Amino acid sequence: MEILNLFGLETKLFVAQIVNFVILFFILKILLYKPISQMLEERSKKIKQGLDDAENAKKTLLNADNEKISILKVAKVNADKILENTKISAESLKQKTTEDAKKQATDIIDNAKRLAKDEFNKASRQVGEISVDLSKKIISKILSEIFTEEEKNIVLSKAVDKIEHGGYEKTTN
Amino acid sequence: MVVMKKLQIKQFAQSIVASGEISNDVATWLLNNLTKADMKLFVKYLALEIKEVTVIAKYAGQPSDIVKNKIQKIFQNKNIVYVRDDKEIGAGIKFEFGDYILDYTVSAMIVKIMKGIKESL
Repeated sequence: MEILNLFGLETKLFVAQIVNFVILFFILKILLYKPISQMLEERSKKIKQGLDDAENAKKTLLNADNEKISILKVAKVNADKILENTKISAESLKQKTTEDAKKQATDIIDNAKRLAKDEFNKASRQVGEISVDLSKKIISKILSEIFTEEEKNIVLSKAVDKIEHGGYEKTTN
Repeated sequence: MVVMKKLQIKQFAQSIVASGEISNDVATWLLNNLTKADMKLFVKYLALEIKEVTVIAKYAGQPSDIVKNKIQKIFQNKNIVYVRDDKEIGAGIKFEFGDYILDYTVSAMIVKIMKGIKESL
């Protein structure tokens, strides 16, 4: 104690100061430390939340990127498929159209051939009929001069003989 | 005027055709007593009866008596009217009786041949 006194330290004052310090400490703790600590904690929470959000956003972005790539891949595959299908369809359509056109052309040619043949046959038949009619007329005109009187009598006699023996069919008028 | 039934007119026509002639008296009676409609009907029946009992023989050449006898034998009880038509017949003979025709002429054969040719064209 004497040594402390020697160094100018007074015990009473020292204790008073300690008491003061403790009082001040508690006052500060209650009034300042707690709100500041609370505020820091809240801020820390906010920062953590922000960081978490950023992390989530980053993850979401990454996922979105991945999803975008995946979608693009799928879309590309689909587009390729559609393109391939379209090519196939176009090729098929082209082939079908060509075949149809060929068939139509063949049909038209066949039709034309048939018509030409029909017309030819018709014309031939008409010419034939005209020839027959003409021949008939000519024969009718010279018919009486073809046979002599004797021949006519022979034919007449034979005809009657044939009718007499029922060798000739009856026709209705 | 006398009004006659259809059947009576028909029988009258048949009897006239069967007798083979119409006397002046019958003709006068017909003209004086039949109505216009009956007269038309009578003429129609008469034509039908004549057609029924008459055979028209169209021929070319000159049929001998033997041939004529044969024809008469074929168409017994029929009146045969001979018509020479060398131009149409050519040669042979054609009989027309009722609704029937017996054609044995060269022209008919030619027509038949021509028809065959025409059909085969």
